[in-house]
This record gives sequence, structure tokens and C-alpha cells, in this order.
Amino acid sequence: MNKRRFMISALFFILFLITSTYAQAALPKPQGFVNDFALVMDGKSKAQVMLIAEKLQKEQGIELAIVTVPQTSPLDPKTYATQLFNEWGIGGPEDSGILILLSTDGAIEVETGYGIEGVLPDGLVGAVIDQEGLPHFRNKQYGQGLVNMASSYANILAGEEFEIKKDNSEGSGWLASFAIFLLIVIFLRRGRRFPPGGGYGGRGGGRTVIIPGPRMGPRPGGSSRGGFGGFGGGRSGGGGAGRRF
Amino acid sequence: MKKSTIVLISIAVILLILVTSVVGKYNQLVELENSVDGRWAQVENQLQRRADLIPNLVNTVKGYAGHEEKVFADVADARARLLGANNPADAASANAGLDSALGRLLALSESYPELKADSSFIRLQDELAGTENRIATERMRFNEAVQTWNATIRKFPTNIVANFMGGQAKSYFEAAPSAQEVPQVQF
Repeated sequence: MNKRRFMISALFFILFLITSTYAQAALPKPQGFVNDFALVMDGKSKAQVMLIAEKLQKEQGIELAIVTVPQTSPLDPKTYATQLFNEWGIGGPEDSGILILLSTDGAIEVETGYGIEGVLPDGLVGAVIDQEGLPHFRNKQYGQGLVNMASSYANILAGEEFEIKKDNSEGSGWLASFAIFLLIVIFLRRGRRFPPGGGYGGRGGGRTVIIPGPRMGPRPGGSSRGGFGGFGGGRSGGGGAGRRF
Repeated sequence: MKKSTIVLISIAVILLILVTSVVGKYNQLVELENSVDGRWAQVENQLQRRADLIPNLVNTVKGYAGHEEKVFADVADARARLLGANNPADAASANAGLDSALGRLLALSESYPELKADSSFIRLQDELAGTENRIATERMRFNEAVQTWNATIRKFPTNIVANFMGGQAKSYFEAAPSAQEVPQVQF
């Protein structure tokens, strides 16, 4: 009787030990800048992201990691991203690292290191997700979305302006159409003198054109990087933004 | 050798060992206390950052929903309480109070579609969410430091040294139960 109770509690204890060690070991090891654990990226987009990450590291010392996983449970995506960031140590001694984490069960999280927070504030991080990532992720074009996001972040970090669309949410369609209507009216009234291109003033209707990633410079064909040397030990404090889709 | 010399030497050796271990423990405690203070400064930084974001957010919401004065007043009160807090327990409950006031402010976007679609509102929401994540991270690190400190000063023989230097158990950053009460919803 007593013995049986002891056996049961011992069993539970062992089970607990197993699950807790499992939870501890849930974080994967880094394979490089691109870690497609969920196997959802095509070869071309992998190569493109790799180029962006290498350029970023060479020119500015910023480490960019792209990770896809099928799920993040038992952790929620944000906690997973923060732990992964600090476990891997993305970013050099100045904590200048970015982690783009895509969980194919419907979550995208971008985590910025302490050293990046100033140049890449959370609002901007979120806007890039909304405009460059989500439209593709919703169509399951994970590779393309990640390439677009990575190149936008790289451009922002290189000092370029990222144009935030005025309305980037559902339910505001009438606002955009009204703005377009207004633009047409102005256009008609102004006649020929309306400058082509419009510039920044265009409210709502304006399309943001993102020049796809930097492709200049020599291709790193057959580069002699013997294996991945690991990240530089950067830390993050939970900054960044995320979305569910 | 005389017997008394042997006794003297052994006493000296024991004293030396004792003194070095006390010094070691003392230094360890000082280090731990510093790390708790450093972690706390980080938490305060993030709380300050959160408080700094609020005026902008409120102004944006006011642009679309100017007559929801009750909500704005609640947020302003909660923010003032957060800025006035000067110990972890107070700050934690003020922060929890701000959670619920901000929740009501953000919920306004459900009744004002234009607000929900406003890109600066979306950006501010991102900033706010990021700050909340940062608070959560720094809070975790602070609480870990406090836990180490609290455990160390209770262990023997460190507790003697801690007692001597007046080290006391520190409080965690966690909200008192009263601060977590469910906000009343009135229709």
C-alpha cells in the first residue's frame, strides 16, 4: 500500500525530470546566419538572406540571424525569441544583433539587441513586419517574406529611410479610396503643373517600392568559411516586435 | 619546540583562515548586492521608458476619441503612480495598475476604426509592447538576482557575515494581489 504510493510518486518524479530536461534542451544549436529548421525556405531566398547577413556583418559588424521553426511551444514565441537570442549570443560585443524568428504555426518575432534598439525602434520593426513580411507569410511564401524583411532591416541600418504606409490595416479601405479620390481632384484642378511622383505628400494611395537586397560586389562563390564559428555573444533585453498570422 | 609555541601558531593559522574566508564572503555579498542594484536600475529604466511613451499614445488616441476623458484621467493617474514609486513592490503594483488602465485605452481602438488604422498608433503600440517585453525580461533578471541574494544571506556561514554588514532580504518585483484585481466593466 505504502510502497505503491511511493512507486507512483517516484514515477511522477522521474516523468517530471524527463519533461524538465526536455524543456531545457528545446533550443536548437545555430547553423549559421540562416537556420531553416522548419524547412520552408527555398534555396534562392536562403542565398539572398545569407548575402544580406554577410554584408551586414562585414560592413557594420551587425549580426543578423534568421530562424524558422515549426513551433515554439511550450514557450510563447516572444519568450522563445528572447531566450534564443541570448543563448546564441547574436551580435558582437556591442550587442548589435537582430533575430528574425518565424514559427510556421503562425508567429513572426523580431528581436533587437541592446545595441540596435536606438537605430531600429520597435515601431519601425513592427511596420516592416506589417508591410514586408505578413502579406507573404499569409500566402505561405515564407522565403520571400523573410528576404524582404531582412533587406528592409539592412537598408534601415545602412541609413536609408523606410517609408511607412499611412494605412496598413484592414477596415480602412474607404480612407484610401477617399485619399485617392482627393488626389485625383487635386490633380485635375492643378492640371499639368502637378509634379510627377508626388513625393512624401501622397496619403494612403502611395505604393512603397523596396529595392530588393544589395546585390553589388563580388559573389561569395566558393568562399572558404570553414563551418560556422558562432555568434559574437550579444545580448538583448526583449526589444523588437512580433505578429501572429 | 615548546608546547605553547605550537598552540600559538595553530591559533594564528586558524585565525588567518577565518579572516580570509570572512573577507571572501564579504566580497561575494557586496558583489551580489551590486548586481541586484544594477538589475533594479535596468528595471527602472524600462519602467521610465514605458511612462515616457504614454503621453504620445494618449495624444494620438485623443485625436480620434477626444471625449473619453475618464480613460485618459485613469491612465494619467496610473502613470503618475508609477513615476512616484520608489521601491520594487510599489513599482510593481503601480505597473500592474498601469496595465489595466492602458488596456482600456487600447481597447478604445475597437470602437474607433480610424484610430485602429492610424500608422502612428500602430507604431506606438509596437513600442509599448516592446517595452512591456523588456520590462518582463529585466524583471526576470532582477528577480533572479534577488533570489540569489536572498538565498546566499540565509546560508551558513554567510549569514553571519551578512548579519554583521546589515544585509537584509530584498523584495521581488511582483505585484501585490490587490493590484491585480480585474477592472470593472461598465456598460
